[in-house]
Order: sequence, then C-alpha cells, then structure tokens
Amino acid sequence: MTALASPGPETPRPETTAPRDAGTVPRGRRGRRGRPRLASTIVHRAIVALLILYLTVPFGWLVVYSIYPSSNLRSTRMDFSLGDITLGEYASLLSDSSFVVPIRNSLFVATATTIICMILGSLCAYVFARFRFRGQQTLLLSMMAVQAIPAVVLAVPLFVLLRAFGLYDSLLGMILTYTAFILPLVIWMMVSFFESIPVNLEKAARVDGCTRLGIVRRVVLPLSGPGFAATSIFAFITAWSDFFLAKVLTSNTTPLLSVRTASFQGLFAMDYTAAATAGVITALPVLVLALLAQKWIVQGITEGAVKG
Amino acid sequence: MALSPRSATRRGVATRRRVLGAGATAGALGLSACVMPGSERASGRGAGASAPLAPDGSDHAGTEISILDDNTNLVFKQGLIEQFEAETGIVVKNYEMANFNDLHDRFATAFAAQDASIDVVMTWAGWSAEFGQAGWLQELAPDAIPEDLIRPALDAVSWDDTVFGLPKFASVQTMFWNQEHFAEAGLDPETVPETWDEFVAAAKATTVDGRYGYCCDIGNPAGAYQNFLRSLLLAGGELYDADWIPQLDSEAGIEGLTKMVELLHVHKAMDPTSLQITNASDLIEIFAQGRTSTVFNWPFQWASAVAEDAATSAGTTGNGLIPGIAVRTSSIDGSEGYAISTFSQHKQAALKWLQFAASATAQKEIVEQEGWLPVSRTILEDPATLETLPVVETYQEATQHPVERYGTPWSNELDQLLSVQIFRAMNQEAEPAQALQAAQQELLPIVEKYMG
Repeated sequence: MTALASPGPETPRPETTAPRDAGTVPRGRRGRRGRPRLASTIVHRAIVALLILYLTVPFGWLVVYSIYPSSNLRSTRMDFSLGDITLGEYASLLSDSSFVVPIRNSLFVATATTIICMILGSLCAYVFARFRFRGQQTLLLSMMAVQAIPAVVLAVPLFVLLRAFGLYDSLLGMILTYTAFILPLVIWMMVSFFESIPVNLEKAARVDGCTRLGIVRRVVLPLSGPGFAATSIFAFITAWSDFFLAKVLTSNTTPLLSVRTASFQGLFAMDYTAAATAGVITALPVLVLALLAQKWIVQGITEGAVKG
Repeated sequence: MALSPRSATRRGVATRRRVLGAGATAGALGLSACVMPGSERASGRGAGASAPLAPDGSDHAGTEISILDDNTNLVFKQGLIEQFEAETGIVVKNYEMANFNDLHDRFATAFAAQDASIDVVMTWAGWSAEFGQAGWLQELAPDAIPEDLIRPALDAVSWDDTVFGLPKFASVQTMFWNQEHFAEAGLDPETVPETWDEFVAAAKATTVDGRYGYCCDIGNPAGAYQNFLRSLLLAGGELYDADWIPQLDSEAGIEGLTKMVELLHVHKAMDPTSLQITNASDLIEIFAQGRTSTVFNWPFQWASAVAEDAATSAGTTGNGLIPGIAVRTSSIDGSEGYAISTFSQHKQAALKWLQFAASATAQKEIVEQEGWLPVSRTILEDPATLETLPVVETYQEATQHPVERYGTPWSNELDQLLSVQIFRAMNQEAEPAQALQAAQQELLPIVEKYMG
C-alpha cells in the first residue's frame, strides 16, 4: 500500500509529467480550454480587486479626511488639490498631551494584557492539550460560555468589583478586566495549536531528560511560533480596540485611546479631521503588527483551521 | 464510620459537585443582583429614591463634591467653579467633562452599581425621564427650585410632574435666514415668512444652481426625531395624549411629515444632504458658509453666523419664529441641566451647585461666553442679555407658543424606531401615513412596557 501511495526513487516518472509538445495539441482545442481559464482568472481577480477595494476604501477615506482641510471635503464640490494636503492635524494631535497620554495608556494596557494572557494562556492550553482530567471538556466549554456573555451585562459587576478593590479608573484595573475577557479565547486558540504538534517530539525530549516545563519552553513554544504570534496579535488587537469597557470603567483621569478618539464627536459638534486622524493613528499599531507578522498569522490561522 | 475508598471517592465527587453547584448558583444570583437595576427601582422612585430634597439652610463649607458633565459648556471650568467655591466654601473635588455620547452608559453603569462617587450629573429631557423614573435622580422639593425659571428649561429636568434637577442653559430652535440670498431672489430680506406656504415659496425662490433654500439634519436617529417632532408641532399636533398614548400617525403627524417629504421631492428646495447631516454643528457651518438660505436651528447658530470667518454676518443673518403649518409657530427644546445622584452622600452641597448653575452669575457667563439662552426669566428680560444675544428676542416670543421635547424613558427607543420610518418616507419608500402607522405600532408596546 505504501509503495502504491508513494512512489520510491526507482519509480519511473509518469509520462504525463513529461514536457508536453505544444505541437501535438490541436490549436482549436487548446484555445477552447484556454479561454474559460482566462475568463475564470479575470473573474477571480476582479472579485479579489473588488473585495480589496471594499475593505480598503473606508480606511483610505479616513486617511483622505485626515490629510485634507475639512473645508475641502465638506463643500458641494470636493477639492482634492495636492497642494492642500497637510499633516498638520497629525502634528497637532501627536503634540497634544490629551491625546498622547491615551496612546501611552492604551499601549501599556494592551501590551501588558497580551503578555499576561500569552503566559497564562499558553500554560493552561498546554495542560488542556496534553493531559486528560475529569471535567476537562466542561471547563473548556464553560470558558467559552463566559465569552458568550455580552460585555454590557458584565459592566455593572465589573464596575462594582473594580470600585471595591480601588481599581476603577486605573490601568491595572483595565489590564485585569481585559485579561479576564481575552484569556479564555487565548487558551482555546493555543490548545488547537499545541494539539497540532506531534507528541512524539515531546516524548523524545523527555527521553533526553527534559522536564515538562523544559519541553514547553524548548520544544512546544518554538514549534507553535506561528500560532503564538497569531494569538498574541489577536489578544493585542482586542485589548487595544475595546471601547465599551474602557468607556464605563475609566474616566478622564486614565483615558484610553478608543474613548479619546470617540470624543471628537460631541452632541452639537464633530471635528471630522481630528476624528479621522485619531482613527488612522489608532489603526496604525494594528496594521504594523499585522504586516510584520503576516506570514505567521496566515500560517497560524491555517494550522488552527486544519487541526481544529 | 469507615468508608471504602470507592465510596469515599464517590462522596468526594458528590461534595465537589455540590460545592460547584452552590458556587455557580451564588455567582448567577450575585450577577443578577448587580446587573438588574431591580424591579423596584426600574418601576420608578424605588429603592434609590428618597424624600424630595429641600435646602437645609446650613453652611456646607468644606464639603467635597464630584460633577460629571458633558463637554458643551466650558465656562464652568474657566472660572465659574472657582467662583462657586469662593461663594460657598464647597470644594469641587472632581469636575469631569466627558463626551456626551459616552455619558449615558457611564451613568447607567454607575447608577446601577449604586455608586456614590458622583454627586452631580448632567441631564437633559430624555435622561431626566429615564433615570428619574428609575429612581436614580434625586427629586427636588419646590423650595429648592428658583421661581423665575423658564418652563421649557424646567421641563428638561423634569418627568411626570417631578423635578429632578435644575437647568443650566436653555435652547429652543428658531429660524435663521440669509438676507442676501433673500434679496437676490427678490424677497424682502427683513420679512420673515410667517406661514408654511410663505416659507416654501421663499425656499424655492432661494434655491439656485448648487445651493438649496433649506437644509436640516435628519441624518441620525436623534435628528430624525427632532425634525419630525418640530413638523408635528408646527402642524398643531401633540406627540402623546393625556394618557401617554403616542400620536405619531395623527393627522398632524402625517401632515408634518408630508410637508418635509414635499420640500425635498416636490418643491426640491431641501438640500438632499439633509438626510446625511448628523449634527447641528454641520448645519451651522453650512449656513455660515452661505451654502443654504434657511435653517431651523439652535441659538448658537447666531455666534457662528456672525463670526469673522463666516460668509454671513450680523447684518445679513435674519432670525425669527419658525413658520407654522397649522399654527403660527412652535418649536422644540434642547435645554440641559444638572441633577443629583440618588446615591450621593453630599446632596445639600450638590444642590448648592445646581442653584449656582441656574443663578444670575453663571447664567450671564453662559449667555455672554457661549451664546446659550438663559434659564431664568430675570436674565432673559435683562436688556444686557438682548444686547449680547439678539436671538433672545425671538426666544422670548417662541416661548409664548408650544415648545416641547417630550423627553421620556423610552426616548432612545423612539428615536431608533421612528428614524427608520422617517427615512423610508423621506426616501419615498413608503407614504408618510404608512410609515408613521408602522412607527406607531412599534411604539405602543414600548410605552406600555414603561407605563404599565
């Protein structure tokens, strides 16, 4: 069976793989095959182009709004003169402490949350992936059940808890809150990545005298790099972009970027340029992260998909 | 009694299950208790409510209060807080100006958690009703309320004949028109259209290539509600009857909405971008840039229209009553105020703040620095006020006619469902009557839910 499934080195190359003599294929027949293929390619690429447009135009429009004076875009005939392009609003926002402080706060909270979630989540996920114990599935499912509860429902209990522990309107409070929300998902994602690593590798490491933690550190984590990267970025983006919990669990004392960005729209007024600029700045870290780790993310997601 | 290992294990498992079950039940109960405002409170003046607050006449110097405001008024931060502290000796420990759009959720969370850290909250007609009925705002006794308050402003802090706060500024929509456009169209720039037909004729006459005679802000749920309510009132209607039965599909409602649709599609005098404009500030800018000839807008339109960089000026901006459809005029109210949290531990000091905000000292600053209308009749009738803010004269006239907002606990739900139907009608996907009947049917059970 094995011989049939995988030809050995001596197996003669099948004739079909030999270079085909173009002259042996009748012209008309090749043309009939080529045209549908070409049409299919064109349709496929057109769909991809449309999809890319659909996904990027809103962000592109945000960028346009951030670099043109508001008056150019809000008149009946929009004025896209290149000479009017300005980065003034970026300079203005990035030199304004009321905007820089929220950036710093959000970076700190999102980074700390990601680190905590990845350390705790990886260890928990490893246990779920490699050990069998009573209530394992129930525990995993109950973690997901917690995820099903909308944040709006948990806002009041969280508010009470944070107040009681003196953590309301503090960075630590937000880190703990986000960790509670993100950790279960990190565990779920990492479990599927760990399960994709052959157990034999760990057994071999064990034979070589590695401890369980050593196996995790030296074998499992390096092999699950793509999954680790994908999950980390997911955790970071979730903590970075949250708006609702940041809104109800912080005040002006500890502002986070998402809330600050939303504040450009008031009851009676909206500063479109500042809002668009803030939107671009908010999206930038996520974009940079995604670009840097693009390969890992794709690899990580596909691995998880196959093994899940 | 000795147990076999097997039965001991079984017993251990059973105990764990019991403990887990009890824990889960306790958690669920605790969660419910925290999340649900409690039927008592939700049904009105319940657990959080206490006796109406009256001034106790004592000195509260040294007491610290916290205020959570929206970001409409800068005058408090720019000097009025210091004046208040100097006058009363009360310390404003924390004055936070937050984005209006974030405040509702913050208030709802803090109130539901019975949080005592906020003493004074900003309010308007919708929230006074919603949070007042929930028992989260402190009811005021008659002797805590200044006598000369203007009714629409006081309505903004009241619900169901109960006063939950004091207003900080008044705001009523009036008509602003570009007198240059009127003159170019051969109309008398000094004469305000008094009837809807006169207004439509003026709007059509001032509609020229690339510019429309009229523009409004129907682009979001709140805007759609406000524009519809104004039309309904102009057609002589009321939004609710005495028993709070909605009157959306009344003759006046249908007539008002029909007039709006006609202005857009039949007379083609309404700027089609009105359906995308989402706030008064954009409308203000469009008028101040001379890109429309007429708007019905809030009083701070005046300050922008006469600003140095505006295409309009004091000499070319007309201000008058909104022309009526079936009545001479009517308008909608947009006043804001302050209320005291039921859970505040410093209610007397908080009341001092409310009274200070409604006092002549603060009101003069609000009129002079920000162009909002005063909440007290004394300041309204002061000649200095008229000199500072010419629109005050129109406001005085407007308040002689119906000025409503109908803030209710279900304001937000009404905005959402009504806006869908208003858009359908404005886009000619449904007849006004059909759209309003659909909205009426959706609103009835919501009102029933709140009013019982």
